[in-house]
Amino acid sequence: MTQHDTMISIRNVGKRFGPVVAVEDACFDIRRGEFFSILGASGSGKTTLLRILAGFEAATSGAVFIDGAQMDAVPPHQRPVNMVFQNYAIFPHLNVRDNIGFGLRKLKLDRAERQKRIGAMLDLIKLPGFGDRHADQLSGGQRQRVALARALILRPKVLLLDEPLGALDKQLREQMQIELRALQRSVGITFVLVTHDQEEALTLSDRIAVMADGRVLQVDTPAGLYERPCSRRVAGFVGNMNFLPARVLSQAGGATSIDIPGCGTTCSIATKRLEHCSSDISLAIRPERITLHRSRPAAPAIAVAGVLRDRMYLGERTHFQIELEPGGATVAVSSSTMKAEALGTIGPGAQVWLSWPEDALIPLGNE
Amino acid sequence: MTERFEFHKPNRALQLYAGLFMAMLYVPILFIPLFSFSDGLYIRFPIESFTLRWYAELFERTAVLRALENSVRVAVSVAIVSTVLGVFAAKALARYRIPGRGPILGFILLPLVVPPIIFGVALLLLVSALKIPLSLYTIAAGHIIICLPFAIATLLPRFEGYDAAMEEAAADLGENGWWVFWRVTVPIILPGIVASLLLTFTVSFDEFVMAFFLGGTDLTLPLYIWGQLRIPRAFPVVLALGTLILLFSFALVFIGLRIGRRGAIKLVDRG
Repeated sequence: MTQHDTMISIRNVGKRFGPVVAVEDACFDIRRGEFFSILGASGSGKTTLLRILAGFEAATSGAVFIDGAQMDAVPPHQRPVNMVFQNYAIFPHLNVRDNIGFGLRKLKLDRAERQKRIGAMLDLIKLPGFGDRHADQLSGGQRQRVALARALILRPKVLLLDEPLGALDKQLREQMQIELRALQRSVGITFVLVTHDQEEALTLSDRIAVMADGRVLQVDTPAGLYERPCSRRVAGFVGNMNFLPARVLSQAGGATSIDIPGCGTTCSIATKRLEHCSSDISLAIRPERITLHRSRPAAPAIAVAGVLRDRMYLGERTHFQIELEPGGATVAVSSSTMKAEALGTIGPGAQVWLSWPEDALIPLGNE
Repeated sequence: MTERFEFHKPNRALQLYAGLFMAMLYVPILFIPLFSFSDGLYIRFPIESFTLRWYAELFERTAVLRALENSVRVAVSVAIVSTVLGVFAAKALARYRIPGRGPILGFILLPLVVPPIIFGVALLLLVSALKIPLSLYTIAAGHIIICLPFAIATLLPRFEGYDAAMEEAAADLGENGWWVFWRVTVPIILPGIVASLLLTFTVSFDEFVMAFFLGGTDLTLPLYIWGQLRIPRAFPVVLALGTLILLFSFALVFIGLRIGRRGAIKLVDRG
């Protein structure tokens, strides 16, 4: 990646509040024009990191560069970024037009130009004719759009979004996700979104940084995070995941043989996939990569017997909980409802078989 | 047919008590306007005939008008100074992580409960030790001490009632601290500012004890009334004056509370 492609460069940024470490040694780049998400549970440090980018918090260590310029001594009102706040922070004493035009004062535009720009933003957020509405006459979704317009009218280099969809109900949230993505493509501005909702991050982002306990665990594309998580924590945080205890048996000719005690079986994995792991590993497998059978399948060599414990109908998909050893841990299996129905009416207590393709197993070190 | 149980059943005895309570509070005050319209020099029932002549006489006395002017000058200055100081103090208390916030707030609000006579004596000692001549300025200084807690108590809920992210949003949109204050903070707390101005004006306008200790030759209205009480002939005029002050004070406090409350309700509606 060349210097030209980088919009934000976060270099070894740390933040302490007294004895509490909020962010520890964060180090990654955000590319120009990218939709980037910072994903983490509450208290993971993601919002602190965003506020450091906006200039509301000063990093205790490290440096932040935006478009090549070091930001650490630059106050919020002079940074080339704008922010959409969690509760939108719509100014209650101003109408929609004046909220959107708030930041234009310094540009000293004449009245006509000012109105033109505000009008263009109202069209962009699909609220034409709402200019004279007062802040308290807006719904949650409309307030969110006004907050977006207010930030985008200044044509910032980066738009920061702090859980912008958190306050909306599910249906509106999904609609706003689509609009947000389309908006980002049309304005071409780098978006940095903070969220605790992994589904939202996967849907919206070009790349995602996963944070926990103040540390950045992995920075990758949504597919990369989902298919190649680098640790158990990332694997457990992004989507659902089964973890099978495993033990390395032997290595020969580029393949490593691994025992899966809970399944009473072994498997073979390319040795280079184990490079980043210690010898103490687990094998992770996504519930939808496991196939359920009523009788021992003939085709794949690996098939594991189990007892069905629970079955949940979720509309398009059906979830199963399978117990591999009596009294042992259960494995989650997710199957399309169509396939599940082809299995017939199996209920709790039924004997079933599980199989999976070998590349579905992801070796992960146990930290 | 059995009587239904009603949780919020009205209770006659309690209603009577509430009525008596209100009467005890306000009936004595009502004697002032009542006798200000009486034609006699002395307070006695029944009132023989009604007159407005005490009111007419009131406006012919230049001393009354002088005292009124002094009171208004002091009260307006006190209202402005204590409200401005109150805005800064309330913003600091609401926005910054101050160690010992609780005790500090307690000390700020203490003048509400310390008898004015203590403050009056203390300030008189200080002022005479510093050889500052007693004047309307010394009265105003004393009043600011009394009024500041009222200003802060009125303004603090306004600051606590809105999201600090509003100020961050304004900074994010390119405004420095001073402009954030003018374009966002002041408009949002404006109802609190108006309420504080009205309330502190009223407190200063009616205040007697501090003015008594710290006043020089220029009299405020309460001091003038005190002086007139020793002259029996002047008494009905004092009653007329008292009636006007009463009406004026009620109106100011009423307006101040209404503005303060309307602002609060609007904030809640906004969610």
